Amino acid sequence: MTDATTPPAQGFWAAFWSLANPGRFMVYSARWLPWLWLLTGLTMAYGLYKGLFVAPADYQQGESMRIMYIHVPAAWLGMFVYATMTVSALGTLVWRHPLADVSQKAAAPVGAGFTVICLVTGSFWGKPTWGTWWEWDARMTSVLVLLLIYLGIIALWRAIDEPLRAARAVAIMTLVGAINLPIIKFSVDWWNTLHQPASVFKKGGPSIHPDMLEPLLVMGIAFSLLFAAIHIVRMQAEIIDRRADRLAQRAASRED
Amino acid sequence: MIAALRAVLARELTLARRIGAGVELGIVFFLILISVTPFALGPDQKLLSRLAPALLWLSALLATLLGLDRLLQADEEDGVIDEMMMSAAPLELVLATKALAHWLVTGLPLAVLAPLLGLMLAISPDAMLPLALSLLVGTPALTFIGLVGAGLTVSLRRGGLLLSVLILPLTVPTLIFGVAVVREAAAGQPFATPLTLLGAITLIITVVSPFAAAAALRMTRG
Amino acid sequence: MMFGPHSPYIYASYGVAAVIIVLLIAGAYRSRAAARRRLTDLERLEGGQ
Repeated sequence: MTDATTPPAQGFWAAFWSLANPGRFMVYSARWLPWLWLLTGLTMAYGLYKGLFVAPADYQQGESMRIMYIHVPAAWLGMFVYATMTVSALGTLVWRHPLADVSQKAAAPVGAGFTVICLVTGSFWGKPTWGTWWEWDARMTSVLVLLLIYLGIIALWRAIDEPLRAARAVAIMTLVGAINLPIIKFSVDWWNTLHQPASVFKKGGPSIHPDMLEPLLVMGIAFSLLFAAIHIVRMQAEIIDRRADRLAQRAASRED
Repeated sequence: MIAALRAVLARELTLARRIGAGVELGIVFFLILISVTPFALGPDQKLLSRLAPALLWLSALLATLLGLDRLLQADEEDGVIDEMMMSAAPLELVLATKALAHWLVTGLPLAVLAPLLGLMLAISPDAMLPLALSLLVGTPALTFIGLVGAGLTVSLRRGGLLLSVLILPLTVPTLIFGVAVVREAAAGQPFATPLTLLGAITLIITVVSPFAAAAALRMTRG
Repeated sequence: MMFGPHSPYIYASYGVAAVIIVLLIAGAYRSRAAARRRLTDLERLEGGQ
């Protein structure tokens, strides 16, 4: 990517752009991936242990409050993965970073998966606490809309065959979604205060007990590491697939 | 440049009239939707009256949605999009003009007719003018969001379904505030806040959408 | 020894989350394996020419 006349960038950006080479990415990711999995496993185990066995039960909600240690980090990840997709989308459209397309495509199903986890665990949390399987409270509704946007993006990936065009179309859609998400969140919060003042999921707020906060944060980190690991594997798969596509094209054109 | 845009507008309106996808069809569709919903809900006046704002807004949303995939597809098939990209006016403005034409033929008539159809749903008289106002302010947002979806799905088969999937989540804020205007008015409450928020959303969307749609057309056509 | 909290809702939540996570991980590794197989098949074809 750099020619003889441009001086090599220093420090962080040098590292960033050096990874821009898919070959380099494959080498580095192969080296670090096992350690990433190890770290993920350790943080996950610690977080689960603290959340399920050590942290105190809520005196009102009892044990089922422990669902929060999955539900809230899943919501965080749903948003974090979308943020990753947005940065990747900018990478595709603005900086033409070669790995940006790959990153976008790899992230979408994982983000959708986390939002599904959030919605399902939210449902299981709501039933014993409030008696209903579904509440249209602000967080659940916003996460539901986020899931719908994810599903639309995944549908768009599948609809366009050519990878370059698909990546650009999805990038635009992702950015349009990113602009709309704060508006949607604001409107859903507004809508919710009109209809239902009480929220099932207050426990995520700033008044949270520190013994409950620690497992929450640890699970947040564990989920983030988990996403990073899965994302890297999916990116590797996509890069290999594209190499295979290029080989297949060359073979096909030779057969004329 | 203005002449070019005026030509686009004139062409759109003429085409709409000629192929029968004009004002009349959108109005008829709206009427049919409103007529059919009581069969599903039952003739209870009080229930219909409570649901009227939502039903009218949902019908306006669906009526807008239905014509959107043809917004750009016909032009793509006829090679008009290439011409648009080479015209004197920037592509963004051309697309905005097309969206405006679409709204004049779809959203505007709905906004004007909705209070009358609302009578069929026993809407409160206080809410009739606010209903028209909310649709007037809100339906452009629906059309312009649809423009982005149209730009992204223009060369796809069955693009209409994907278009709806892509843009419906984005129409949630418009729906929330649009219905809120009518509901507050029906309850005799002030409705300035949701109306202003609705206006803000429409403004943001009408500005952002042509750029996104133009980018989509430029970057994704073969 | 008590094995942690006994609510069925907790089992269900953590269980569903675990299933989805396992599916995501398995899906990722399976797609990578399939891509690798496809690449080596094509490389073998190429090499055989």
